[in-house]
Amino acid sequence: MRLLKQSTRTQPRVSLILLDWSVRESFHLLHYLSKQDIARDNFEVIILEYYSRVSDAILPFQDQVDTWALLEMPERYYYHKHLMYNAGLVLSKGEVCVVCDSDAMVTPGFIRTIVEAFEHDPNIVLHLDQFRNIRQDFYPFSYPSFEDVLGVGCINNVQGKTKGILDVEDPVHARNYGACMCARREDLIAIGGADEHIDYLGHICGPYDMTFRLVNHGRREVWHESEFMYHTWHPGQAGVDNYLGPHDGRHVSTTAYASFCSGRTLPLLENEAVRRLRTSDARPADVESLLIKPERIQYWERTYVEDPAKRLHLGMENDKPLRYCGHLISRTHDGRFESVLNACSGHTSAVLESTRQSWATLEEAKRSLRSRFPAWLRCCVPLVALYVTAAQVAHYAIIRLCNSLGIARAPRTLGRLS
Amino acid sequence: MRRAPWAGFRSRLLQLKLELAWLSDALQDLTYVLYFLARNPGLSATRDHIYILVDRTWIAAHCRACSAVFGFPSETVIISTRDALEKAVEALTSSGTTLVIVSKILYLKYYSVLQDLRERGTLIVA
Repeated sequence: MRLLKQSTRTQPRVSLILLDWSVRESFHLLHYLSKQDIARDNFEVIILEYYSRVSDAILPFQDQVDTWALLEMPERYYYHKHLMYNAGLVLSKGEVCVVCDSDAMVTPGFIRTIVEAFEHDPNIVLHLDQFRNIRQDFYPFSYPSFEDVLGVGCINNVQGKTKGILDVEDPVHARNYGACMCARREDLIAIGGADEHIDYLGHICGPYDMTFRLVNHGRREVWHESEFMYHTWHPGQAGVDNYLGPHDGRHVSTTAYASFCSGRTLPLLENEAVRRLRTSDARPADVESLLIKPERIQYWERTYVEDPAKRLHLGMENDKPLRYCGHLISRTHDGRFESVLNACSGHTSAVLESTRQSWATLEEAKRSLRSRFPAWLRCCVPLVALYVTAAQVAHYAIIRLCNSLGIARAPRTLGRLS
Repeated sequence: MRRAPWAGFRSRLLQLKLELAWLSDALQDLTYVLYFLARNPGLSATRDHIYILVDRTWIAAHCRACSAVFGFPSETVIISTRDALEKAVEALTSSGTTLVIVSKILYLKYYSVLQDLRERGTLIVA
């Protein structure tokens, strides 16, 4: 990692972490950050470049940048945003870390709103949703007014609020979890930072991985109802032609879902630098050199990602919990295997914690779990699952057939999650 | 321009595959969790007040069958909207229900509604 510039601000309240992987054409957020109605010492701006590019788009706003770091990852590696989140977390000095789009517009009250929200309740993870305008004449970014962005071409403006904020039926898909996420730095360190698991490589990733685990940690997820970001169209939106890890068909990571539902707070693959911050009294400067570990990133090479045959190796490391007899078996730091019922309850409940057990080998863990359930049950469960899923397919096929014959209506969607 | 009949077929197929994988996983996990709870002596005192909230008829039927087979007296309720869940949670809270089991799919959709129950330790996501 090479630091082109390092923050001299001693006690900022907010650290903004902005990412680039040699793709950003505009960093106009920096322009809007220069117009904030709060003293500049209250926040610092950290820019992280995954590769080695010194972006020309940043140069006009250089005075707004406090820390500018190049991770200098070789070009042969695919981008992993979660590594950049962790680098930002290590380099930040603010009480609150903000991960947000660097090509969005914000109002002068943006930073003040975040500060006030955490003053009001520090036990939150705060999200700001984003208005999106698809007018192509704003590209290259032409500094339209906020009214223009909310006007013709805005796809989610419902009387001054985003459609996502008003959507209570499917918020996970309707809201933009990647637009702006704010959490206390100490909370982010307590949950081990962003998960660097291979499943989050490429486009299927985002700060919601941390949001979900922060909620498991006891923080409350809050969406601001009146402060938003404003995004205008640019080519290559929505990860076109990017590598996609496992997702639910609508670009939300199923690995993040699984961690949320299992009550897990720590990542599947924790960054070593963040782990040191979490488990020792190390200062950020002491752990910077541990941010990128070569043995961790070998599967991020483009050859693995772009070749379907080699891609099969992805996600097959032992760092993902194994589902077995309704339990999750994962490897602990000391090399043992820990099993726990694949369910979660409140973080104060001890009911499920009583199922947590540790084993020397994987075979031992499996044998013990098998012995807890009668053979008839272990045989019946997959059969019933197979029967019900087959019935669901038949049900769906009949509905589709009826629909095409004009006899009945097709279901609104295939599934609740998809 | 007229849309080709096969347009979106791949995407639909992917969604169907994911849907079935979720359904299969949900059924398996729920079965094991219900079996564990039915055999857990620590929960015997609360057995009369257990509700299972799910979002599909298939899963509800499965839960009812499991409850009968495992001797696990519980009531299964199908919830299809946020509004219905809010009402159910309100009713369960005021009636002093001590344990609510909710399917993972329902939890992912409406976890903000269930946050209070979870903080009180009366919710199990299975």
